[in-house]
Amino acid sequence: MSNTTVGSGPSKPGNSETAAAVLRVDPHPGEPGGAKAFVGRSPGQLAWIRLKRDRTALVSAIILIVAMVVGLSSPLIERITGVSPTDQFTDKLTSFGALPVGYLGGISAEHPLGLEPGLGRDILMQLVYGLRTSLFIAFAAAAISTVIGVLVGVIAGYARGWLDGVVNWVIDLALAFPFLIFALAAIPVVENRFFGARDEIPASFRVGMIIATFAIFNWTNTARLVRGQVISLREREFVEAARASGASTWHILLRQLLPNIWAPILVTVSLNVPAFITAEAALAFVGIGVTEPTPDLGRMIFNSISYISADPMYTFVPGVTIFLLVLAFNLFGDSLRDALDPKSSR
Amino acid sequence: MVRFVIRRLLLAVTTLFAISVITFLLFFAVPSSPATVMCGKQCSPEQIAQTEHRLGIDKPIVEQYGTFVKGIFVGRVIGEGDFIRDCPAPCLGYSFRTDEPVTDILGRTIPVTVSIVFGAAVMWLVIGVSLGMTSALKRGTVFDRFAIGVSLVGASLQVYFFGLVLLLVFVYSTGLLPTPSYTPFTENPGKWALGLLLPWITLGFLNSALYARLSRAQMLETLSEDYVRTARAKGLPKRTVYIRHALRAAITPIITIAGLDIGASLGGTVITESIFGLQGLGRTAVKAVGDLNLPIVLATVLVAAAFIVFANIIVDMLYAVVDPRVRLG
Amino acid sequence: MTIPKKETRKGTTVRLKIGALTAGALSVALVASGCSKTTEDGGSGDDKKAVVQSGLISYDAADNKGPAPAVEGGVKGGNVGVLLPDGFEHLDPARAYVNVASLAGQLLFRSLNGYREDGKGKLKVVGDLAENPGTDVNKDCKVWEFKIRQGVKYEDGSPVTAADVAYGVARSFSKNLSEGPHYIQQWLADSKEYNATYKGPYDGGADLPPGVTVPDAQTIRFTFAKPQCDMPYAATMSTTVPVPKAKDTKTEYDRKPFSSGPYKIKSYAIGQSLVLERNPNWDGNTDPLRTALPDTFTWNFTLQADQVAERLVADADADKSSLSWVPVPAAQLAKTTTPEVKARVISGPTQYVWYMTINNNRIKDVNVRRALNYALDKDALLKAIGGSAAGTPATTLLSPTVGGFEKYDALPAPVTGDPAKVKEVLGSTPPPPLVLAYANSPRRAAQAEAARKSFEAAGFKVTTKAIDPTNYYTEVGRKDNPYDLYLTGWAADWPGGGTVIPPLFDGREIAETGNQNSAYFNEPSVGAEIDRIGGLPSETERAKAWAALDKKIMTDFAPTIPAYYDASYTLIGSKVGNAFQSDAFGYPSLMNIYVKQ
Repeated sequence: MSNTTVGSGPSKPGNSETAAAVLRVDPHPGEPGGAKAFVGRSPGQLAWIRLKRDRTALVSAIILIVAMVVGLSSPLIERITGVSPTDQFTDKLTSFGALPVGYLGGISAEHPLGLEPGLGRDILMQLVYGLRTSLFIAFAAAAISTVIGVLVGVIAGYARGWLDGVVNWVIDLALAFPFLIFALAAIPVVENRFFGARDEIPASFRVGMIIATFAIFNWTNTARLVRGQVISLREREFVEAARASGASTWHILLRQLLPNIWAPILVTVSLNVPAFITAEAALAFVGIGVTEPTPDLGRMIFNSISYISADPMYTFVPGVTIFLLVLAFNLFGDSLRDALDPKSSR
Repeated sequence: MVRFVIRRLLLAVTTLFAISVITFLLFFAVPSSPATVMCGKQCSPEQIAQTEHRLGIDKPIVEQYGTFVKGIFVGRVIGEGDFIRDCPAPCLGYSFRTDEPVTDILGRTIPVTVSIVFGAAVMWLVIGVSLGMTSALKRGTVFDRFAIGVSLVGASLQVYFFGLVLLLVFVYSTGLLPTPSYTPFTENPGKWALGLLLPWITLGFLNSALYARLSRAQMLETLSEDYVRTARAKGLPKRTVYIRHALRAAITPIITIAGLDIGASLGGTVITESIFGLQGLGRTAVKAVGDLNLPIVLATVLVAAAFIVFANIIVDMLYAVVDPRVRLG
Repeated sequence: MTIPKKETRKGTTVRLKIGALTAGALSVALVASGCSKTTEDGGSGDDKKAVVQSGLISYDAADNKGPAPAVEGGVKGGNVGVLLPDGFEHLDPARAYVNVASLAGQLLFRSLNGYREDGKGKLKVVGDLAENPGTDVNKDCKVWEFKIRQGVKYEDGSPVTAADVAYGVARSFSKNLSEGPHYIQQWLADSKEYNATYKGPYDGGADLPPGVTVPDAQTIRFTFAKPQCDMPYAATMSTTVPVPKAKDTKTEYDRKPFSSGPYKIKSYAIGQSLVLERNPNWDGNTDPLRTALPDTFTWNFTLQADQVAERLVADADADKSSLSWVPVPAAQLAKTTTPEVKARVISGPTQYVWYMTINNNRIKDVNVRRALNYALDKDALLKAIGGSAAGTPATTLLSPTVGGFEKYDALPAPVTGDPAKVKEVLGSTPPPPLVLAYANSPRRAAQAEAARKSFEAAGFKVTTKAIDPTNYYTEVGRKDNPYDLYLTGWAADWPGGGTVIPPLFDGREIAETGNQNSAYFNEPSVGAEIDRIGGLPSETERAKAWAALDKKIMTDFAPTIPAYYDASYTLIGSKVGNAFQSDAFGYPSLMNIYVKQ
């Protein structure tokens, strides 16, 4: 049984607690003195048990699931409230300054979170649809960049030599190039190539471009991590043994190495997703975010900057939403890491 | 060591070259021209052609790139006829819109970005390391849990939200702090610090989480080492033990990570500068992209990339110097 | 890098609690600061200043002689601060075109003619450097003669001569100094491509452009191939600022132009500040326009628009003698409604009118165009960028700041639009699908969204198309552009209908690209009328005729939708005296401002 260290540091030798967990006694309730049975569990199952017991993981998982459900069911919510995210209630804005009338940015029964200044759109509906966009982009980008990163990392780590050198250089390049500038310049160019002047560029295309840009720049972290893991693993006996018994490179990569690195990869993914949520909102600041009229949390924050003292609710709603989402992801990722790597710091 | 440095420098130069080529290509892939940005009401095709000729962008791309590279290393001549100007090395050209030398623009904006990042770095190191070390020393207590929790919250906040909230609370509502602004350090250090305090606090708090955890873990690991126990057993005061031994061991990874972080931050401060209204490298770059102002875009992209690349090299070197077990090359 | 090991399990719940606490704290902070009730009233951005521009070109001796009329209550001394977020791109008179550069130029330079304004709608064109707004030598508007006043001196004491004015005009032909207006150059060359033959006094070119003569040191003559009766207006532009050949530093002139006006540059740090101090050689007796009361002027380029607004609202001691050349952003408007601040608001229409332009090449049915006029919700369009402080709904093609303006409404409807009338006007015609193009900036995107909603409410199917702002006017300026609607703005270059109607609505000017007539409106009868008006003898008659043509175009053809008159809304400090919005430039002019002691 192999040991995975969560992190790219040098592997530490065998872990007593893991062994103890395997041998842990599981007394049957109601059986005094209970029959002691040995139950063998794989590291994955052990991790799952530890995760379930973690209260923080539970709470953050619930928050995330709620967010996803809300985002996915946004059309349903729209049908229930009868308010669409693009409806403009300009009659509820002051004529001088176009601020929402009433308290806290126009909170009322029909608009539980108030209205946007300027266009008078319902903030709750913008939030609900915006969640959908943000979560979709974050998950998709995390998935794609992880896949690319794993592939590249495994190849670079296993192959060594000049291939490894080239991959390292490309990683350096991707890290050094200012991501926002690239996005700002490249996305409109690509959109122009694909769409005629009169064609409406569907929001999904822009979303796709954003995901692609994220993927281009973010596979590097996963690649580095995986490469480090592979390098430390490839010298191990079990890999030697596999090679000696004539296993193909493919088999070694897929069957021997990959199963041992899924844990840190999983943790990286869960910590990458919040970074993408933050970054997607940041794109709106340079004007390359999701286009109107698709609701977007980042664009809402960006538009709200100047209204911070006049209508704080406008900033508060998307800001706290993103904060809670990111916090939940971070906590969950932490718990996941703890569950996968039970070495305590005692 | 020398061989390592030379090799890395060569690699760095190739990276920068690659970045400049990519930027050039991106610029010329864009369908509009900087001439159209500048012509306002007077956009006849002939006017646009004239402007493009004046800016030198009607020449073949390869030639333009060659002139650009030549300018950096040996200097070049810009313009023609009575309007010829000598641009000595390193020549980064003149802004398409205002004819201001790009080196002047960099001279104005780099200090702002550097001030923001270095002040923030000091803050996040101080906050993070002190929080982490104290947590390690008081492991298991309320303080420990509280400190780690706070730093995690900081890691989950975003600059654009937290910065705005701080602005609202400290500047607009209460007026405790002045509106963030940049005064050159040489002009008035007090004003320089006061004007940047809010960005420093924001970035500092947000980035401290990693260092808190790192220093806490390192501290804990060191504290459990035999030699530390020996030192304590020998009767050395706590302070000496912790600072001389534990801190020193912890510093290594912290410095290396901090170096990478600082390099990366220098390369991207757009959001911070937008929120706090500071005219730094990031905002200048974004505006230049919007204006299709190629010389400025090239210069800012290269400077940002150079920061990151050289930070990487320095950090690797430091790693080797501090930890003799690490072999370079 | 080593990722630290796990903390105690108990610690993780604490993190959750802290997270919740933080969210709570942030909410309290925000809510506490936003807890006041926003109400409908309180705002004076509407056209309280619906002052109709009446004054025109004046040859009265009283208007044309210096010194300028004394400012009531005006005192000498002090420093006026001007808060200007983005600074100046160009101060060189050959390259300056934007209003802030022109306003600064009024202190640094003297052009042949200038605007005399009193803030009450009586803008007059009078001679500034010239003794009067120009003599039409042969009464055919083709030959114009200006006599330079005696005793006007540069910052170094040397006299301003007609040759310097000619040289200033000459250098503006150069393709390297081409960012300024091109009216005079085009009239001299009798072609839109003004520098096809004469390219300026560089690289061996002559010092005098074709058509410009300098009979003596104080006289300059312009000879045009075609009648240009608007020359007195064009002569107010910075093209006619004198530049001595010896002082021409070409591209460096932007940084340190040579002053012919009451002030000269003391220091100029790009991105930081500009400081002007007195030109000791300026003689007030030669100047009918300026009283030059303050000792110095200081521009601050380091603040953003919202910071400018905050500071002027607060009116701290350091800001009491400051004003701003940037509108108060929508978000800060609510802070300007207290009586103390309201008294320091300078607002009113600017020279800009914004049209929701209809592409007449694609929408050929006049009834559909009328229906679109009825459909547009101009109120929402304005609210998207801040409401009444940003402008007022428009019904005419000309701006209220233009001389001879007459208000009319050819297609009366409530400002929010009239979907019922749309159906009535369309009748049996099915509403065509429309593509609305907009420049991809946050403001314009919001306006496009507001427009889209209102057209859809009226029954049109609209798709919006974002265009890169760098490319926007180029794209809609293409004759064969594929869009149906686009928001365009047009500023009169001088307060006369001649800079609005011919460029925008003369179909004979339409070319393949570079069109300003982006409505692609081409009506022979209108073209003929334009020519006729151009030949009318006096400016008063012309002004009246432009207003009449304005009404005729909208009533008969409705080629576009006048959306709103742009308005400016700025603040001044409490110690600034005699500040009013310039009808020519949209911000307070500095020529007769003073600091209350």
